[in-house]
Amino acid sequence: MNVRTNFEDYARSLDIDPIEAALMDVARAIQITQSMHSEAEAHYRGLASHVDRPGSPFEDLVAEIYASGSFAIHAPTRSRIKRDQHDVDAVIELSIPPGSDPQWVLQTLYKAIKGDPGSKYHGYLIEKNSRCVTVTYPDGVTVDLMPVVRLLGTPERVASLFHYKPETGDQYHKEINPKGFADHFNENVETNAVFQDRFDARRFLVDGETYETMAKRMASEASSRTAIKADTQPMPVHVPLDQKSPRVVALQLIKRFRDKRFRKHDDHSGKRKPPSIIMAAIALEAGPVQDNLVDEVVALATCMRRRIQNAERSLRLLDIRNPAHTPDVFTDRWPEQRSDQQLWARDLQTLIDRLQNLQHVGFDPAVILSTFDDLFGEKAGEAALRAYHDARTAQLEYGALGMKPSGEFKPATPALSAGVAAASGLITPARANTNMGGTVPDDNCW
Amino acid sequence: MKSVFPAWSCDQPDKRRAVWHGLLKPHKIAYRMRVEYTEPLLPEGRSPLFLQPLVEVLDPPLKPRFGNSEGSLPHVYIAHPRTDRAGPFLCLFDDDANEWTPDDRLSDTTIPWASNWLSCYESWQLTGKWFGTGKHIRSETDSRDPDAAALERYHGTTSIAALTRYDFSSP
Repeated sequence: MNVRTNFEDYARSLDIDPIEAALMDVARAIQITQSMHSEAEAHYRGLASHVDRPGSPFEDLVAEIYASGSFAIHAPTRSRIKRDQHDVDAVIELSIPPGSDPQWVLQTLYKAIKGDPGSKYHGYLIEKNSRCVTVTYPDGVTVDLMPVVRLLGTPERVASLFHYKPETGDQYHKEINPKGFADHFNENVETNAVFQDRFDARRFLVDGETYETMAKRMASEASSRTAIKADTQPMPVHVPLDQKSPRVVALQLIKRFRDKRFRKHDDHSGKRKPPSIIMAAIALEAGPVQDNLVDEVVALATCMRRRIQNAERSLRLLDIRNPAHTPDVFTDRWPEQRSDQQLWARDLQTLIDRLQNLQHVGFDPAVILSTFDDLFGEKAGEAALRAYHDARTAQLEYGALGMKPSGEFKPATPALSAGVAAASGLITPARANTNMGGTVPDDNCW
Repeated sequence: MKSVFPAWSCDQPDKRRAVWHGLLKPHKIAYRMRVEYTEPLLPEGRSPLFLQPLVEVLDPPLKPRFGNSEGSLPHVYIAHPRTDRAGPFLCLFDDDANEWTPDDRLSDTTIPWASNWLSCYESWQLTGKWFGTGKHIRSETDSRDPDAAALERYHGTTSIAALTRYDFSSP
C-alpha cells in the first residue's frame, strides 16, 4: 500500500465536522489557482517591461518589480467566485529622485503604461489613483501598480511612495517597506500540519484530487499549451501558505466577508474598507493557530476586534505599523475617524456571532445557505451545499459513510460488508445508488 | 428491518406484503416515512422496477417547485402499477446499473438511500439544484406522447405525470 492510497483512505473516512468542512469549501472557492497566480505574475512583469521599454517616459528607469499586499503573503482571493478574476498589487521601483513630484510620477507612469495608439495597453482601462495606477485586463484581472523609489542607506527594500489626490490637491511622500512586511509575514505566520492534511483531504473528497495532483495537472496543461517547454523537468510542487496555514485561510475568508459588507450594505456605502495589510499585521499577533478553521476565523476576528476595543478605550484611532519597518504606518488612511473602526468592530462581531451560531445549530442546509450567502455573498452557500453532496457521494461510493438509525449520516471506516457495524452503530449502505427520475412517461417515472 | 430500525412500526396486511412507518431525519427536519414491500413470487419474473419497495414521504409533504429546470419534483415516480396509492414514490436506484434486487436488505439499501434522497431534496428546495447523484431517463428516440412533452414544457424536465404505463413485467 503506498502513501498516496493511504491518504485517499484517510480523506474518505475523515470525520470533519460538517460546519468546518463547509467553511473549508467556501475558502477553496475563493482562492485563486496556481495558473491564475502565474498569469498574474506574468501580467505585472509584462507591465514592468512595458514601462521600461525604449521610448517610454520611464525608459530604462525600472529597477525592480515585485508583488505586494495579499499576493505577496499568499492570501489573494478571487474578486468573483465564478470568474477567474482577482486583483494584484505590485510595487514598481523606479530609479528617479526620491523627492520627485508625486503628481508628475503618477501621471508619467500612467502615460508610460498607456503608450501610443496601437501599443499593447493603449486600449486597456487604465486609471490613476492617489498612490498607484490600476490596469484592468480584458479578462477582468486588475493590477495596481504602485511607483516607489528605493531609499538608500535604509534597511532592505525600504522605499518612498508618491501620494497625490487631485480632489484635495493633497500630496506627499511616505516611507514604506511592503517587501519587508511580506518577507516578515511569510517567515513568521504559523502553519499547521493537522489543518493542512484535513484541508487537502477535503479538497480530495470534493474535487477528486489533492493539491499536489491539481498543481501537477495544471502545470502539465500549461506546458502542453506552450509546446517548447516539453523537455523541462517537472518541478517539485510548492505548497503555498493558503493550503497549510489556517491563519492565511482565515484572512482570506475575513477579506471576503469585508468585501461583501462594504459592497452590499447601505451603512458601508462610500466608506473606505479596512485595508488587508492591517488585518495581516494583526494576524501575526493573534497567538497560536487553531487546528480548526471555524475556530481560527473566530479567533482572528476576535483579535482584530480586541485591538479596536483597546484603541476605543482611550478614544484613539487604531495604530498598526509595519513590524518590519515601524516608520511605515499601515493605519495612515484607515480609520479616518473612530466611527470607521467602530463599524468594522461591529462587522467582526457579526461574523463571530454567525459562525458560532452555526457551530451551535449544527449542519442544516437552510442555515448554511442563509449564513454563508449573507457573510460571503455570491452563492457561497450554494457552493458549500454542492460540495457537501459531492463529498457525501464520494464517501458513499467508497463505503465510507454510515447512517445512524435516525437517518443522519456519519463518516465510517469502510466496511467489509454492508450492514450494521457493531462498533459505531452505523448502518453502512450496501452500495452507492443513483436517484432516478426522468422524462420518459412510458416508464411511469417523472 | 426490526433489528436495525427498532423504532419503526410494521404492519403485515397480507402474507407477502409488509408496510413500515418510521422517521428519517437527515438534518433538522424529521420526515414520517411509509415503505411498502411485497415479497415476489418466485415465478413472477418481474423487473426490479416493478418489485421495488414503494417509499413515500407522508409528512411534511414533498413540495414541488414549478418551473424548476430539474423538474417540479425531481427523482420521484408519480404512480406505480402495483398500487393505487397516489404517490409520489422516491426513485432510489438505477435499474440499468443493477443497483437493487429483491435479494437486498431494505435496511442497508432502501432506507439509507431514502435518507440521502431527503438530504438532496432539502438542498434542492433551497437552491433549485439537485446535488446528489441522479439520472433523468430519456428514451433514445425521445418519442414521447405529445401531451407528455407539453406537460414537460410546462412543469419542467421531470415533472410529467405518467400517461402510458411502462411494461414493468420485462425482466
